[in-house]
Order: sequence, then structure tokens, then C-alpha cells
Amino acid sequence: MKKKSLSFLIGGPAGSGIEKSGQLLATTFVRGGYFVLSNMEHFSLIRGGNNFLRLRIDEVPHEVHVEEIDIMIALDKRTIDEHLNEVVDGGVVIYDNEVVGLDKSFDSGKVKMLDVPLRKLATEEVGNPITENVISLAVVLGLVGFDVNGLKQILAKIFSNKSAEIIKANEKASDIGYEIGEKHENEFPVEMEKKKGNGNMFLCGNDALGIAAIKAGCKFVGEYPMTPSSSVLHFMAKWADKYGIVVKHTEDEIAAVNSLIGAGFVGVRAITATAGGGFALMTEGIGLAAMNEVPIVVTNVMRPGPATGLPTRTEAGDLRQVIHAGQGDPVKLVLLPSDPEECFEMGFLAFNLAEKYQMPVIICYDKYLGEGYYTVPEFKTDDLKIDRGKLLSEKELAKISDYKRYLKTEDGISPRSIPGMKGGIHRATSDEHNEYGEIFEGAENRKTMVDKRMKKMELALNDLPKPLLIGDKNADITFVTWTSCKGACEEACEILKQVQDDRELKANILQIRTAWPFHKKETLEMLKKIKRAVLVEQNHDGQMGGLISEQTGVIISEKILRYDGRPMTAKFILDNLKI
Amino acid sequence: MPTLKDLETKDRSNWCPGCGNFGIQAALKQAIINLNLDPCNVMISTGIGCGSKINQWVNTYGFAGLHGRSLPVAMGAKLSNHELTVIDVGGDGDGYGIGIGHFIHNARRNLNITYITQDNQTYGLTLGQTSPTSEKGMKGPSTPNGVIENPVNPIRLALSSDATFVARGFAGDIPHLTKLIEEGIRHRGFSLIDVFQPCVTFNKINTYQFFRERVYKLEDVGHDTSDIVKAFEKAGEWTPKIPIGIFYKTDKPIYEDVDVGLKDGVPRAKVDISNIDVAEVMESFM
Repeated sequence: MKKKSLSFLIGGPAGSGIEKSGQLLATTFVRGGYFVLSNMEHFSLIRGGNNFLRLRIDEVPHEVHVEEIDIMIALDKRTIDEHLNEVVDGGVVIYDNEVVGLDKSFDSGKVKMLDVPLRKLATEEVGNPITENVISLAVVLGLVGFDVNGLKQILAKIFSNKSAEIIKANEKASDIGYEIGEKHENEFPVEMEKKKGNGNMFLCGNDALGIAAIKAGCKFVGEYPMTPSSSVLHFMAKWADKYGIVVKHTEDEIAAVNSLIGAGFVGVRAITATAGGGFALMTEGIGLAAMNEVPIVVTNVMRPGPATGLPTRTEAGDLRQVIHAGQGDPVKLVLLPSDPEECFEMGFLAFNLAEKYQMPVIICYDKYLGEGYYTVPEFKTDDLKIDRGKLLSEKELAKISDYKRYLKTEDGISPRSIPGMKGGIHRATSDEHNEYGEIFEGAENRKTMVDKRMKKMELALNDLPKPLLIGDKNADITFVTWTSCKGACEEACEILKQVQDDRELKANILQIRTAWPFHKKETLEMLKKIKRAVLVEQNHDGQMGGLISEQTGVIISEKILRYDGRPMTAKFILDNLKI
Repeated sequence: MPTLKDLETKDRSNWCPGCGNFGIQAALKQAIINLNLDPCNVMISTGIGCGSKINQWVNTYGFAGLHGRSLPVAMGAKLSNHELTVIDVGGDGDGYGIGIGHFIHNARRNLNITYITQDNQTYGLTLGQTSPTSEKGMKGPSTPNGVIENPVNPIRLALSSDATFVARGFAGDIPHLTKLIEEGIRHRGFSLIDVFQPCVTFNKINTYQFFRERVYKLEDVGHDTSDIVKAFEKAGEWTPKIPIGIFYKTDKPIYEDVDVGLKDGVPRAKVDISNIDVAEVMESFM
């Protein structure tokens, strides 16, 4: 029986079309009914280096890639040097020896080294040198016996506004490659049959957040590009015309967050996205939104720091930065999605909560999720309701004789007017202020206003995603984790189940989904029931572990921490788990 | 038509007696009245400094934000509801120091907002340090040996940043300043009105008397406001005479007219967001 899943890697220097090729192959399989996970690992440069993209293609969804490779396309020798040891026995390496230049020492006999004269075929047979990569992708399809027409159709659509010649050239390249792969199909241990497409989406976490923002009625984006968050800006800019969204690439992150506050103040839902460095610049603004009680949504897509760090890699080391952003304890809500579905759900929720509680909401996740591509079903939108909180209408304002923007209420939330409304005139002030919004330094007033703002945090806890226990309730080991690490933990649980049957080693996951305010009670209750907690995080100190102990008193001493900038994998967890 | 009383707040301004900000506040209120602006459609964005408290005492919508960041707030507000009259008021430290980047970028953006700077050439609220527009050699607690740098020239900076309305007023001439603010608000595009605002407590050089002896009006000498070269020239004058009035004015498309997100002309704040269909977006990923 042949395997029905495929782990694939394409690698080469930056600028050689790795990402495009990888996404092309991914889309081919997604349309053919498979679940594809795609992760691009690249250097922070435009040309050279060694970039690679991994695909994990399977009949069931996964949220983390595996390190073993079934098929590798090597566009340079460095890819072979660095990744040949990851190719499984019986796996295939597709390369063009005229370009790569290997000697015989690379052929161990365990891996099939398939030398395909890609450049020569593209130039001489197809007559178009840019079809090199298409030939190599078609070789892959031939090897696993997957209908090549899917690839042809996607290419035809991509090049639909180009000449018929280019479309023909791509078709020819597809056929040539497929034929080469097909010759080795019998000996290759993976078989991927084309299935009926299941209408799934192939998108990254940033895309999912963007869809949520549009659905939530976001009409203003102020953002400054920063990897790995920039695709949020690009996504929103792409749809600005269709959905009537003002998308402003601002002069810096300070302008971004303050422009959001201007938008929020006049009643428009607004979002920004950035990475840790840009977020640092936004912190004063986050405090301003908290003080003036303006709804805004700020996204921090984490990459390894400090300073420039590893700009294109992944880490989850900004937890402390986001929860403590701003001087003087500004109120804020911090959400931690772990997969595209949660990026969508929490993204939508963020806009509602920002207006309901009149404060900044921060969405924080890592690069692996932000830029990694997942195959997910269409998001359900039927039950999503816009909640604008205590936003007043002019009619309601007319009934209020002495309007106080910061009226002291039982829940701490004051009815809100926005500029343009009659009867609601007020000044919002970053100084401490009284109920009218006037600058006021009285000691009693100060205490009242701090308490009023903090009151909202208590209440908000009820609306924030609670910690989640995933998997078997009675487990021997519980991985305590947050953001995309959850995917690697899930995989680790599966593997433990398989290999540890005789020892009945069961593992599950405690996923923290809200960082601030913290679900103390619920988390503590869950931790009490856990036999053995193992913290799994992508930062040096175990920041979530620190937060948990600060909030619950429970110290998790067993830690699996990865901070080399590379994605967390099940293998890394299991290699570091004491069994 | 709003009256002066409509624009008054319960509290009275707490600036030092004789502060130039009183003149600016009076001119701003009078301009709002003369233009017959409904106070509920006016938003005044300010930064931090003595002068930035101005919106505490003008009864329109107001937002007092962070030091140097009044313009980004004004931008977000204007792009979210372009039916509002958005007036930004900030000091020389706000606009030409910490926030100079926002000043340049919003000028070149040509948003339809009015930017009034209370240029007193000193940091009043932090007790008299020199500012980016302090004259060379001026002393303060942070520069006891005198300022070494050349002062920022706000007029030239605005001109080279493609601001479409560039003017300078004097807080000691309220009727003239009122007219400038009116024209600035009426102008479709980014208007800078840099205002000489004597700080009676900390700036002993650039006093009312200093300006009274030196200022003259550009309109009195037949200055051509469409001539950018002449405007640059005039902006360089300081000794013995200093020009006030409109240096330069031109009509260019405003940002709000061109932004694709606003092509239907409806302020974003008034768009119904209750049930937005994202099926097309999701399909694009299938």
C-alpha cells in the first residue's frame, strides 16, 4: 500500500521563484481535494541565500509541518547540502545537474537522485526558459500520479491576460515534466489520487484576520510595513476599492496607531498590524486609546527579537511586551489565536469588544501562523453579529440633558457619542479627566476614573476566549501552550498515542487563548487537574509560564522552549520530552 | 449661526495673563462663527503643550492626544468622516520638533485639514527650554550656552512639502489672524497657519513688542500668493522685517477626493456595517 500523504520541499536562492512554485503546487493539491500546509523559510534578503518552502499534503488537515521530506526540488547545491539528510529512504530529489553540479558522492543509493535537465528542456523543448519550475512541479505530479490537468488549469488562469503562447508553453512544460515523473511512479512509495475539490480555502493567518476585519466592518487601516505583518496591509489594500475601506500606509507606526485613534474617535472601526519593533513604537498610542476610551484593534505578528532580530523567522517572545504595553497600566484586551480559524473568530470578536469596552484590543500571534498557509473550510459568518456597545444615536442623545462622555456607570462603560452628533459634544483628553472629559487632577476623581476603566477589564473577562483543554481529558502529560505551537503539540499528542500504546502514554493540550486580562480561576482549575504539565513555547524564558505562575501561583517547571527562529515541530517536542 | 456663547465652556482658560494663546483662541472662535460652522461638526485635535489645552475651552468636539501626534489623529478622523471640519492646533515643539515627520507627510498628503501652530519659540509647559524655532543663541535651561542649531523655518518647510495653503499670523493681531484661519479652513487642502504666539513667561526675546516692531502684511506689499519662488524668498525674511499673511496658495486635488476607499463620497462613519458579505473574499482563496 502506498502512502497517501506527501511532504515536499523546494529550495534555492532568493529570487528563484520558490514561493510562487510552492504555492502553485499547493493550490493544485488543494483544488484536488487535499489539505495542504505551506511554510516558507527565508532569509531577510531579496537575492541569494537559501530559501525553502515546505508543503505537507494529506487527506486530513495538519497545523504543523514534518521534518522528513518525500520529494525535494533543489534549485541549488546548498539546498542539497542542507536538506538531503531530511529526505526519507526511497524519497526523490529533483535537480538539474547542469545548474547544481553534483558529483557521485551524493548518491547514497537510498534516495533517488533524479537529474532532470530543467533548463535545457525549458529552453530547447518548450522554448521558454521561465517554464523551468513548471517542469519540475509536473515531475512531482508524475511521481505521485496526480492528474496534471489541475496544474495546467491553474496556470492558464494565472496567465489568462497573457498571450496564448505562454499558456501553451506552460501546458507543454507540464506534459514534459509529468512524463518524466511518471516513469518513476511505480517505484515511488507515495500515491496521490486527484479527488473532488471540497471548496476549502488555502490562506495564511494574516489573510484570515483580514477577512475578519472586512466582515467586522473595519473601514480604516493605518499601517506601516513590517515583516511578518505586511500582508495584512496588502490584503486590506487589495479589497479597499470593493469594500470602501480607507487603507493608509502611514509614515510610521506612531502615525498608524494615532490615526486609528482618530478613526475610532469618530466612530469608524480601524485596525493596524505590525511586528514587535513597530509595536514598541505604538505603545504610547495604546495607552492613549485606553485613557481616552477609544476602540482600536492592533495586531502584533511576532518575529524573533530584540531589535531587528531574525526578521523573517518565527518566535513567540512578545507576550510580555503586549500585555504590559504602555505606561501606567493602560486597560487593554489581548487575544492569542493559534490557527486561521481563530484568527478569523478572534479578529471579528476584537472589533466588537473594542467598541463594547471602549478600549484597545491587541491580537498577537507568531510568524508561522501569520505567513504560513493552511487549508481550511470556508468561515461561518451567519451567526456573526456586529455589537457597537454603548454607541449612542442622536435620538438617544436628545434625551440626555447634561451629557457626560465619561459618565461613571456600574459596569464602567459610558455611553459614547461621536463627532457630528448633536448634543454629544465633548473633549477627550489624554490627561486624567472628569466625567465630562475635562482635565481634572483631583485625588478622588483620579481614583474614581482609574477604577472606572479597570472595572471594564473585569467585565470583559466574560467575553474573552477561555483556556481550552484539547484532547483526552485524562492525560498523563498536558502540553501548556499558546499561538501556533498548538499545532505542533497536537501532532506530538498523536505520535505519543501511536508509539506509546503499551505504556498508555496519553497527552493533551491546555491552550491559553487570552493573555490579558487573565482567566485566573479557569486556568487554575484546569491546572489542578493536570497530572504533568509541560510548557511548550517559542521564547527563551517561557513567558506564558511566567504569566501563569504570576496569575495562578502554579509553577510549571518542565519546559520545552525553542528560540532558534525555526518553527516548533512535533519532533522537537518529542526529542526534548523526558519519557 | 453659532454665537461666542455657544463656543464657551464652563471652565476658563488658565494660560498666563497676556499669553499669545488668548489671541489665537479668540481668532479661532471668531473664525468658526464667521464661517457659520455647527460646533457639533467641528473637531479640534491637539497635542501636548500649554497651547494644546485650547480645545478644553472651545466648545466643539475635541481630542487632546499625545505630544507631537495631533496630526495623525486628525488624519484618521478626517479620513473616517470628511464631513467634519478638522482643525489641528499644536505648538512648535509638537509640530516642528517631535512631530515634524507627521507635519511633512500630512502637508504632502494634502488632506483637507487646517493646521494652526502656536509658535512661541519655546517650551512653555516644561518651563522654558528652547524649541526647534528658537533663534540661534537663545538660552534656556536645556541650552544654557545658547542654541547652536539653526531654527526650523516652518513656512519654507511647508512650501517644500507641497502644502497648498501656507500662511503666518500674529496672536497680537486678532482680526488679521481670524481672517487667515477662516481662509485656511475654507481652503480645500492642507493649510498651515503658523502663528507668532508670544510667551510672556519664558521667551523674553520674541515678545509682543518684538513682533509689533517687525511684522508687516504680505497683502500690503502686493505679494503674489501663486508665486512659490517669491513665497520662498519672503519666508526667508526675518531682519529687520518679518512678513505675515498668506505666502502661498494653490489648488490641488485633496487626498479624500482620490482615495479609492472614499469613492462613493460617503463618510466611512456613516456606512452601514451591520451585514457585510465576505463570500467573494473567501472565494478568492479557493
